[in-house]
Amino acid sequence: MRLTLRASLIAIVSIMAAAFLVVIVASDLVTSRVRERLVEIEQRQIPRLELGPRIAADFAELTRTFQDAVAAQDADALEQTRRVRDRIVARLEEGKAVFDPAASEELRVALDAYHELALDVSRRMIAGEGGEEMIERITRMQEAQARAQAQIDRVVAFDARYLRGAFDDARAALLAGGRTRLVITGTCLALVLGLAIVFTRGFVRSIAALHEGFARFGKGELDALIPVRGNDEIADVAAGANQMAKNLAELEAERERAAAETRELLERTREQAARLQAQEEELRATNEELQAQQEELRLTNEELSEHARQLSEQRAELEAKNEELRELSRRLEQKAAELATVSAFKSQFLANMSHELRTPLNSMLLLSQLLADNPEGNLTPKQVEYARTVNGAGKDLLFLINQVLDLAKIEAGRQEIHVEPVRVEDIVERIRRVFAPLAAEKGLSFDVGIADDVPRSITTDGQRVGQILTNLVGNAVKFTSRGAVKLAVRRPDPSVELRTLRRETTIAFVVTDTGSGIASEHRERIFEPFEQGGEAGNRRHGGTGLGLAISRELATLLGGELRLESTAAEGSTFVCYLPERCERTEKTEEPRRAATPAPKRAATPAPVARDGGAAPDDATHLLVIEDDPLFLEVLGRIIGERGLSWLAARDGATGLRLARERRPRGIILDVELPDIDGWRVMEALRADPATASIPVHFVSATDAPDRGLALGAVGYLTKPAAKKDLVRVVESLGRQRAHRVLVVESDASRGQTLAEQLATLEVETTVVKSAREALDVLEKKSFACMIVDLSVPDIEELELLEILQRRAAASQDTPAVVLYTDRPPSRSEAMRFESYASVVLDEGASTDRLLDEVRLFLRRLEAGMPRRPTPNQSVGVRLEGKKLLVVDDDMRTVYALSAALRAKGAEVLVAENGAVALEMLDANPDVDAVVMDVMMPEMDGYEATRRIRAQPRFERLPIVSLTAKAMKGDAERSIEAGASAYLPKPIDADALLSLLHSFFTGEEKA
Amino acid sequence: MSDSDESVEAIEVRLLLEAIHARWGYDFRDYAASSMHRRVLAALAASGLPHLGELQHRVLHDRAAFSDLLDRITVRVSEMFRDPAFYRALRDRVVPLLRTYPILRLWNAGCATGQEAYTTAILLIEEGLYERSQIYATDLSQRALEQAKEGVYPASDLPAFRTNHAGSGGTSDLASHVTVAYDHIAMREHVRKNIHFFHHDLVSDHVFGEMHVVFCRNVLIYFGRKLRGRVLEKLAQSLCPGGFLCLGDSERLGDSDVERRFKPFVAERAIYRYEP
Ligand SMILES: C[S@@+](CC[C@H](N)C(=O)[O-])C[C@H]1O[C@@H](n2cnc3c(N)ncnc32)[C@H](O)[C@@H]1O
Repeated sequence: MRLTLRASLIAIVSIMAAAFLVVIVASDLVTSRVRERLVEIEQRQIPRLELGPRIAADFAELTRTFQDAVAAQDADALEQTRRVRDRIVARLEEGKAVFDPAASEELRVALDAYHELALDVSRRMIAGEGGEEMIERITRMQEAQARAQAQIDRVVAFDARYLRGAFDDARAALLAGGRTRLVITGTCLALVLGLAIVFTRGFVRSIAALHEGFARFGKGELDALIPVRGNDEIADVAAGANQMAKNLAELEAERERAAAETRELLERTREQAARLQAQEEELRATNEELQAQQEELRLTNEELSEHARQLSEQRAELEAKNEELRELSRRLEQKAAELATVSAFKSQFLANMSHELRTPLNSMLLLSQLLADNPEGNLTPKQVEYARTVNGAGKDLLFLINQVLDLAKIEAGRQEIHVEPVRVEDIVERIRRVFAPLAAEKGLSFDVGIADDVPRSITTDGQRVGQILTNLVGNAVKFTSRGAVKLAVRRPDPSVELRTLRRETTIAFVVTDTGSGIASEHRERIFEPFEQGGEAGNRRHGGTGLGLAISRELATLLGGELRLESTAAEGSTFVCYLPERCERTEKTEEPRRAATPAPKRAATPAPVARDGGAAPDDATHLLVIEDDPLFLEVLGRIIGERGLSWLAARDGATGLRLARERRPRGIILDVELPDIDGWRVMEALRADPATASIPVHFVSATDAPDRGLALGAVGYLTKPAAKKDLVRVVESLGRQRAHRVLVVESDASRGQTLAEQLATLEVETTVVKSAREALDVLEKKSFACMIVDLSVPDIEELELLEILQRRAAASQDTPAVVLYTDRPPSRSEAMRFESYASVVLDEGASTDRLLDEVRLFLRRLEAGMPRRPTPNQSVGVRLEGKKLLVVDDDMRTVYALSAALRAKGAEVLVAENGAVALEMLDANPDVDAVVMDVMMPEMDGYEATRRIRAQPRFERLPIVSLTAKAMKGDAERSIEAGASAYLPKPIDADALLSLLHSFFTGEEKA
Repeated sequence: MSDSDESVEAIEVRLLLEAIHARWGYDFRDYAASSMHRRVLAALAASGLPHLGELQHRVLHDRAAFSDLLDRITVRVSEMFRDPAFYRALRDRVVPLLRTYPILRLWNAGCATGQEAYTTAILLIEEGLYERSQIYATDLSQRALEQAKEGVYPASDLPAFRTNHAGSGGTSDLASHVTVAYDHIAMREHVRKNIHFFHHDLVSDHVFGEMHVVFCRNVLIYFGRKLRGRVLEKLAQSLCPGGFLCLGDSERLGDSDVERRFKPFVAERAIYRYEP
């Protein structure tokens, strides 16, 4: 059996309690003995002490009563004595317990005896008896009295000895009790102490052992076990502690092991990491190197293949060159021979001209002039005319000679022309005057005629035209021996294909003869210098052989062309096509071309111009896609009148190709086209980044302006159209738009600086001082870009921006806006601005960024990049009266979406994150739908959607979730969060619009 | 490598990547082949599985196994103020232009464990631009993102952090941006507040916003040429005209069509400007 600590403690305590009880009981016993003694004293002695005197007193009273009664002679008073006696008896009775019974009995007897006697004596005395007998009686009575008195004394006598004895007894008892108690207490104490000592010793020792053990454990001596003594709790604790220590020791060992392992692992990891790092570095290096090598390889490859290609090309080229060389040398030889002739001719001719011809010509001129003046008035008008003719011909001749002398100049391209308005009639009249007589002389008829649709006056160099015609008519007259020579001025035949000219503005000077004609093999060379229609055979006609060459060059110089349209044996027709208005710009270009004798050019057939009117290469202003030639002609005239160049395409495919290739400023588009219809052309134009930003105006007999505008056209005109409307369309499309910048700046000097800086970007800058002015200017002109100082005072900027955005939604013809400010706007302000424009903070230092912004923007425009996506297909979607909330932190999306939505008539609220969206919804519970981006800072779209859905009032609110995430499960997440639908980014405005549309129509039906 | 001498292992790797794509949507097929090959083999070794076939089976059936693999095949080394010279250039050359934007959006594509984003944040704080900035930090790896969001790094990183920071021209006291506790450093709230971490796969996901700066450092090196071009296209789409693209120190753009739309801005530090 185990003696547990508890049991021991209980034992000690109970023993102690028992000892205590014993002590208490013992002392109680002792005390009770003493008390007994004392009680006895109290009960026996004290009444005796009290009753004694009373009995004595009563007896005295008795005696006195007798004496009084005797003295008073009152027999009745004797009765009193009885009472007194009874009292004494009662007292005796009372003190029965304390008095010695025998003594008290004796006392009573004595008392009674005394009383009897005293009573008797008293009565007798009262009765007056006397005598001996009396005396005897009295003596007896006195004896009885004395006896009673003695008896009383005996009874009441205080036994001091007894008392002392009693007290001694008590004291002794007390003493004895005390001693006993002491002994018992002592024994108990000893017992308890002994027991306690026995217990505690073991206990303390165990604890000490424990303590020591723990201390040792604490110090880590886990193997020094605590001795387990006994079978108590401490022993348990000790055993437990020992177990713990053992475990700890094991753990420690484990830990040690683990640590070691970890260390090792760490070490290894570190090594590995280092190795990895090294490897990584190496790898990266190798990668980069590889990359570089690849690059190099690629490059080398490319170079190699390029080389190979070049080589083969070169070989081919070499071959070709050889061929050409051979050809060339052949030609050279020929040329050399020719040249020899030419130079011979030239020098001879020049010599002739200068020395022999000039002199007689000079006098001839003078004389004929004199004659024509007819100073004496003796010549007939006919004669005067002849004289004039002679003079005129002379002048022409001189002119011709001078021209020839200037041949070098012509060929060097230094020929000058003087463009001015001249009357067609004047030109023709001069020719008629010169050649009518000559023709008449040869018996030829010579007709001149000017068609009705030829303008009275054209802008060109009249002298050169005269020179050309002189030459042509001269030749015609010269080489025609029979028949007629005709000079007609009219519009070009529709069948003729012109190379660079437009039919409507071209005049043809047609010289027809009925001469020998020119053999086809000569036609090529006829325009070459020193060639004549029929080789040596024609030489007899004389002439310089320069005429046609010069004429052709002159025609080119005047922006026209000279052609031979004839066949041999049927006479020849030379036609000189000239533009009504000779373009000055061509003057500087043409001479160089003229300088290169281009024999082949005559033969090269004019390029088949599918385009109705060709324009100079790179400056195509307008493209007309239209299959009706008549309408094309009308439009062409209008466009031409405005100095714009244009191209025509008769079908959609050609139109698309030309639009891509030429990037015109604007396109006029018909709907009914032979191949693909105008709608589809429009879509294709919008879909191609190269053409997406070109404004398109429909002009069509199909009456569907809505459809056209919805497709993104800038306008729609229905045929038949008034001329003034066409003019408006042409003018608006033809406006130069890429390079106009509008600066809205109230500070004049700042505006000036900006304008100067913008000038470096080669843009045309307009500076206005207020937003209102800006709107006015925008009405009249179109701008590519607009720079607005945010401190412009007169109109709330946002209002301006909103107006612009609304306009932008309706057409492309709205400038990009760059805002600049030196006051940093608040975050929300900035967000708002950004949904309309790009914003530049001007922190003193750099207008650079501002310029950058404009420059980059213009570049994008030039590259044909659309400024923003335009919804194309969502034609039928109407969102009027709908209030939509767009939640996205990406302002580009916000910009595009809000523009598209506003364009459809919706009211658009914008929130930059979920938290703001929730606030906005709170303030605008009437929102009809929410478009919510998923990835936003602060609160993302999932969370926001969830919170919106958690509100019962928005249970059925359509929420379209937008996300850039395209991975598996991403769509589901949106729907799970409570979105009604989901659209991937980049957002397709059309898809969104039709989605919203379907929500709303569904709603109405429901 | 021609088809004929493609090793069996290479075929297995290819199949594995194919499987991952079909099953989980992550597309590693166009990553740089040799690097991917090594990563997959390393993952195989770490998984203790006998061969790639087994690994493929696991990855197809067990999401956790896939996560582990994903963890293994992405390389996520990063460091605070990694390449101090780069940050110096950013500070000296790019920041002055950034000041002209009232709102700044910066995208840290492939942010790994977040150091780069926090670095950018600290730099912007130092330049007084952080209040108007929003940093979007994205990565493919969820685990990396978890760590990034915590913003807690071992204290042993601190010395390098300090020297790099000083090397970048940093002026502020780092102690004001990080809390050093126990053996870790933790980014403080004012550094973390304008960074938004989220999952985004450069390969499959779309562009999500118009940024002023895109950091895509040491990410493109893991991509094959074609993929690189595709991703660069996305980066271009998410930059505003005139925005900046920052690449890793050893990365340079070539002269493909996309690449040419980025003009070297600080060429030796691989900072480009998007000028479409
Ligand atoms: C080497 S870390 C670059 C860390 C940090 N940008 C730097 O330079 O310190 C490359 C990171 O790109 C991530 N990554 C790889 N492919 C990715 C993808 N398709 N989309 C997004 N992140 C990708 C990896 O998860 C990894 O965290």
